[in-house]
Amino acid sequence: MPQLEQIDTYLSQVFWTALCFGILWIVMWKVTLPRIAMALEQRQSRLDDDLERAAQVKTEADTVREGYEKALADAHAEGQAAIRKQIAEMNEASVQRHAELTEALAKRIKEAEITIAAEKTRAMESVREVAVETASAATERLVGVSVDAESARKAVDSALSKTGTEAGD
Amino acid sequence: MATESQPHGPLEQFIIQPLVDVKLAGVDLSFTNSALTMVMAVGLVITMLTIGMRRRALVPGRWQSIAELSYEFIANMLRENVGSEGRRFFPVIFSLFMFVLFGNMIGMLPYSFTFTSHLIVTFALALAVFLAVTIIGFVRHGMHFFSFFVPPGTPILMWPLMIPIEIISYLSRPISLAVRLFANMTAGHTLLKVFAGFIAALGVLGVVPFALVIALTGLEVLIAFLQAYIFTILTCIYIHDALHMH
Repeated sequence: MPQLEQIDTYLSQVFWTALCFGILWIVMWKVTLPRIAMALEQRQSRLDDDLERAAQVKTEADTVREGYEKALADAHAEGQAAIRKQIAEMNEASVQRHAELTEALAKRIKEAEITIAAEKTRAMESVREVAVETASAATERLVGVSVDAESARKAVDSALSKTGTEAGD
Repeated sequence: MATESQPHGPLEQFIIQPLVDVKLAGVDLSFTNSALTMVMAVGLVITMLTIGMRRRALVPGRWQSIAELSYEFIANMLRENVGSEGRRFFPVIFSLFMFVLFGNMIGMLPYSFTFTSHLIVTFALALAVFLAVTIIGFVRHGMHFFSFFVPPGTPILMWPLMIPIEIISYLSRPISLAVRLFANMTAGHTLLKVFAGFIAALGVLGVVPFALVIALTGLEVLIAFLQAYIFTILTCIYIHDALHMH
């Protein structure tokens, strides 16, 4: 196995290993790795910046949206209040008009009742006159006795008051 | 095993061949095929990651994605296994992962060489990790670091038994770390070569080992990644132990 036989090359191999590895180490350490690190860092900071800006814009959008929603809610509430106010006013007016109307009607009913009562009294008066005349005429024809006006009226009154109490109520 | 006696054997691929003779103060530091693949690996990692990050686009392209994914993969591994204190070790852990990964992956190319299949290379890396971790432990905890060898809650009666066991297990870390990578790479590549040798030998029936070699190549790519991952994650766990003691 050459690895274990060529002992005379060991020093040379170790020397070249150390030299090559040393060069690689120094170049990586001083040149290459810092460059890669810088590129990665730049990208990371760029990403962080972008994310930050996106978050900022999002916050702004949220604020705008909140304002819009608030305005919308306000307008809605305002509209509702106006409608409620209008309804209340209309209700009030209707109640008032209803009361006025009721009052007017009551008044007219009362007037009508008074008129009716007066008419009724007058009618009763005329009915009595007719009854007295009819009674005296009938008595004269049937019995042949002329009844004086005073006694006929008394008789009619008593008869009327009797039926009046029966039919009146 | 006598490699010289069978020049086209399955172990031939592991032979170190000097390409440029280098002698420093009488010591042979020749630039070999192993060193060449190391240089290729390092060059490839640097080129790939540097080209990828050339523009540093906000939306990464393919190459930039590779660089960023590798970065985050190792960074996550370190964070999960060591914690936030591990940040300091990130460059070395990242380099270690890339070095081993590209060493393994370049080895998957035909006619190339796998430097991670050499015990001395993996052992050098593992020993460096071991020494660094031990130094971190002592710098962090001072002499108190020796209590690492006594798991908390051990009855005093058990100490004479537990302490040697813990010391042996601690000292065997670099060996297991080195041998795991070396053995996986060597075994996989040897197996590939053995089956590849059957293809020509069996003639028409060679399609069977050929299909097997294709499947094994896929498996080996997976193992190449997995072993780099294991090497790195174990290093992370050792660093965690040194920082937090158990």
